[in-house]
Amino acid sequence: MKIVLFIIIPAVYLTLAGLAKHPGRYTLTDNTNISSAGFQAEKSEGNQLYIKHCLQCHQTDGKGVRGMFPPLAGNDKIKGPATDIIKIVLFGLEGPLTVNERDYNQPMPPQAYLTDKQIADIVSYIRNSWGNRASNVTPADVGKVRKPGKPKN
Amino acid sequence: MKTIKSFSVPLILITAVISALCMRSESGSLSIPDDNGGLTLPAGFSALVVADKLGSGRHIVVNSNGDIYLALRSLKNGKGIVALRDSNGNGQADIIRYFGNTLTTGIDISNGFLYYSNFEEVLRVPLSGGELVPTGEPVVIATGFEKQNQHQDKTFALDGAGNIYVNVGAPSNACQQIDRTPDSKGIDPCPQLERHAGIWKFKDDVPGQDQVKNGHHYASGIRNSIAIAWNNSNNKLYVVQHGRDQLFQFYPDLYSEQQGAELPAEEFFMVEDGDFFGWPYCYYDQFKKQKVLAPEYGGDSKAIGRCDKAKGPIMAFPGHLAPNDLLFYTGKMFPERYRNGAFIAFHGSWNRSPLDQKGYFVAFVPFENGLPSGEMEIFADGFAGVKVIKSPNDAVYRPMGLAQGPDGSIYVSDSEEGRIWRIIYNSKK
Repeated sequence: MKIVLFIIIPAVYLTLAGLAKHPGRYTLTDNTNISSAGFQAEKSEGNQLYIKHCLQCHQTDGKGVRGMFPPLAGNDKIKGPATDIIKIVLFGLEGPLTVNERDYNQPMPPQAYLTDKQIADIVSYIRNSWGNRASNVTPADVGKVRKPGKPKN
Repeated sequence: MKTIKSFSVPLILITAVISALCMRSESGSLSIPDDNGGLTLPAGFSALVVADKLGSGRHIVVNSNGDIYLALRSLKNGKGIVALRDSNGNGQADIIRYFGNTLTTGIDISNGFLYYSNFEEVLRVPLSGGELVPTGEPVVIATGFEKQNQHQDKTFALDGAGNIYVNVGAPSNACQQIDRTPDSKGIDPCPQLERHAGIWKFKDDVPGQDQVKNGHHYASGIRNSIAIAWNNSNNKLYVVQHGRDQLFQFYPDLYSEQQGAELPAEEFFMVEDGDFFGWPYCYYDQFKKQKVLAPEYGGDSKAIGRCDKAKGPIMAFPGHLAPNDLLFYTGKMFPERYRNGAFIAFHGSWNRSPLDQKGYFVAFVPFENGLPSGEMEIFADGFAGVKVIKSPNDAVYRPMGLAQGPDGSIYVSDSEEGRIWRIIYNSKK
């Protein structure tokens, strides 16, 4: 019995060592399909604009990226005064900040090229998605923050 | 029956002695968990968890006595470095001390000094008399870098011959007039290349060297090379670049969503004095196998333009995988084919959505004569803990830093929970 083990163990070892010489290769091509089909099926204006302008950093689940981009989901600031959120979308944000005890430090570029209506749709969308509940925002609200008396439509 | 039994007793003893000898020579008394701390590894390799919950782990280094130093990108209890010692040799750190007052990213040891960096400078402090926490006064070695709000990490490599090479990342995505904004053209020539997006060389022992006054602008056109290492086998500098973002988001007429997720390649560079690698004017298309003109500079996803003058990569990896550390293996523990080859920690993508995110593994590239001699292989995987990663936050752990221990073990740090793994060869319990 013990002698048999002496033969089996080295045999298993040699087989494993042989496998180690041919580990999995990684290819450049990628066959992943669009994974957020369900998410994209929601066709509200705010959702479509979020996908185009916000999703890459803040992610499908609105949770952002740890260390880089803060979450919108479950972030009290998003549910706070709408003017604060409109300002961030219009003028961007820089410098370190802490949300729910995690640190974030990547610049958000200004999105002033979007119209007042587009920004209103986006802000309303993020204030009422992923469990967030807060008041909707109108294009007039955005116009007042952008430049009093000069809405971009 | 009796005779067999009496025969088997010495056999058991011999077996025990042989296994004890094997254990001692290969793994000491390391206690290795059956699940390898959650990692999947090639046959013959195993892993143990050295420590956990250390903070936001960044780069890592192991001293010749086995002491471990982990940089922290966010302060923990006001400290930016954690020192760890395994005093009983079971593999787990049992002495853990926090020190240093700034957040830390690059970290290395050379000639009895601990070198470490933050967003604005590189410092060093003597590590003497076997002390775990340095008691000497830190001295700034390289400084005078401009403040920047992205790609800030001043990671570095030491050549062991008196020089230190510091990565200064680009303060933008693609040097647009307005950063990361649709339809904003690239500034031409890009003024950011004067102080950023390259490698600066300094003396490794002269205090207070200024980037402009004392630094030598060693190489240019590198967007950000957090992964930077000196290869002692041929005495050359290597980096792995974080390629640009947002080709599809800003140029949906030129790129499909899938192309935006896959392009451009993360490029592996061999860096020599005076090299120019193309950023922001060019990026590398791994399918066309050439540098292509960036759309901010008039590119149409095919035109090459001025990019025939940019130095190419020695290898191209899939886009957005975020190579965050590079290690040339010089140990004797791993099989011969790993010697002088490159381990790369891919922190994993954030910007492939809505496609699934990729990376989150440690890769190996075999080398011969200073160049890759085979395809990239996934060496250590399973960090994320899930099969499909839709968002980076789905990943439980993300591989960040790499270090080689005195016995040839490889240490991997994690950025999310602050775990450190030690990977060893041929010592499965």
